[in-house]
Amino acid sequence: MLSVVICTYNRAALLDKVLDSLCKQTLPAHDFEVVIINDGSVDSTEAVAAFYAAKLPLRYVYQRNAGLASAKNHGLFACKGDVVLFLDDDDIATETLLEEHVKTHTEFPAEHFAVLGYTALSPDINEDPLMHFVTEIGCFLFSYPSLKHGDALDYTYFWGGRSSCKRSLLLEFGVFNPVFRFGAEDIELGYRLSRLGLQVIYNKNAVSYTIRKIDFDAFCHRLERQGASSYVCSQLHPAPEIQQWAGTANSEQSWAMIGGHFDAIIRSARHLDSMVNLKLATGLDLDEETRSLLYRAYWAAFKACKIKGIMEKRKC
Amino acid sequence: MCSGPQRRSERRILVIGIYLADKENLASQITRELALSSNWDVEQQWFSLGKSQPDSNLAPFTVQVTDTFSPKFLLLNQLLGRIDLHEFEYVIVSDDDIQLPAGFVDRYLALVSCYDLALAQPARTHDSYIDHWFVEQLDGIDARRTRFVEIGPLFSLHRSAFDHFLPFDEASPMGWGNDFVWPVLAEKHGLRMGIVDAVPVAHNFRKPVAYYDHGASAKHMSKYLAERPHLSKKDAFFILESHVG
Repeated sequence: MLSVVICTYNRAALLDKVLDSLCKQTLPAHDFEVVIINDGSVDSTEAVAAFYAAKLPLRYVYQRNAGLASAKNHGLFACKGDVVLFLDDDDIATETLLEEHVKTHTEFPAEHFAVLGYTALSPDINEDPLMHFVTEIGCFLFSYPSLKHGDALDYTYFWGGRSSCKRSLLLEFGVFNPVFRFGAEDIELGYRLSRLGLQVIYNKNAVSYTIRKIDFDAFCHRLERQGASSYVCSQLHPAPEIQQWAGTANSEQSWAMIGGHFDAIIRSARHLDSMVNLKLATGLDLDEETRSLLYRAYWAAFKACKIKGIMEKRKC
Repeated sequence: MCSGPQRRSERRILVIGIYLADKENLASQITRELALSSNWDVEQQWFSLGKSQPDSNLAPFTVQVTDTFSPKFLLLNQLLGRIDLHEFEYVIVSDDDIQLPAGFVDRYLALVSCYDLALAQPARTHDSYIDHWFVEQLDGIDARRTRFVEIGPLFSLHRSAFDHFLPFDEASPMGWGNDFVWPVLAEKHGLRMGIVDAVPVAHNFRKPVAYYDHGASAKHMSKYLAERPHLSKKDAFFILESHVG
């Protein structure tokens, strides 16, 4: 059996779409279950879950808001499947998503094999310049362009929200570290599991679509939080590979260079982002020069935000 | 929703434990904290294992002394053999190397009572040595009904469980494997088991099994489990119900 664990916080409207997509799976309903961990939402998450309980093999569990890692552990212990897929609450499944995960686990039955699926942008946000940038160019959100179907990848690809693994592997050898409320909990666990041989098999046919458009300021905030989490991870694991992954090695020098200009970097990118969105909203095209300028501004802003997150956590 | 703290009445609990008299331990702090209960009349009976004499803090609670090593659950059975358990609502079994949070007994037993957990344990804090990840504190909940309660460092039995769990099975004198047999026993008798997350204990003073031969114990445990009904880890490490007050 496959367990789909969805941890959610105040995204009832999106959760509704995610659960709807799980009602249409090619994998028979008796071969999977859905476990929802409501991480302290104050919206209508419970009602949405109750609605789908009649349509899906679904278990709903509430906890006070405790962060993503705690919620994932809660889900791991509340599910019954041999394989557990951690699916984000803003990613809808294609009809064969669950079947494809099961297929790859059947092909790679050893405990140390995990599976990474492919997450694309849903058609309605596919043309958004920022979403395109963070998935295809800067790869701040996903980093699929370099991957090939069937690749055996290392722990840095044990991405939360789109990876599955054997439940027994986590029960026996490690769970998510609850210190991580957002970001880095997946890679930190993956790193610990890598000592036991974790390998992540990429299945490009296990497709989900992210349906939430993230705006510029929200993405900046996200990267600050990721920077903070990356710093915590780097403190837990002094290994050079983790320092490199976390981007903490040269953060002080980088911040010395950009810290004084941080507000200007963000303001400039925000203005450019607004202008481009206005242009697109009025039906105008985006010329290559503007696009290139915009991407450079995004790059500088998002790198700066991550470094800021690292530096602020370092000060704590 | 659980009600508030229970009033002290004629309700008594028994604490039994073993401390390693020749090793550094936290038994003095443990006994002191346990004695501070406002809601329960706490009787403590501890076994001193080692050559050193009990100090003044522990002497009032030390009812037996031996300097000959004997496995944990055999010693616990010796302690239990001296006591009329019917006087007690709960028995708490404690090791000597844990740090208890303030108000432990009242807070812990309030939740154990509220959720009707006949066999229970506090979760382990995040900075504890963890043998099974399943027992690490889950931050967003107060307690969970489970199919697993471990043999230490601290667990409790309600009087409804005494006849079925006590005396402890001496076929596993160190207790290895008991925690996978207990759920079968509990379910057979309709008893609920659980972990209390809101009142975790820190188990980081001494590394577990530091004084035992781990390989031999694993072998013994396998043999013990092979001879009786038990749960697999996959089935044991499962939350039946999560509780948030």
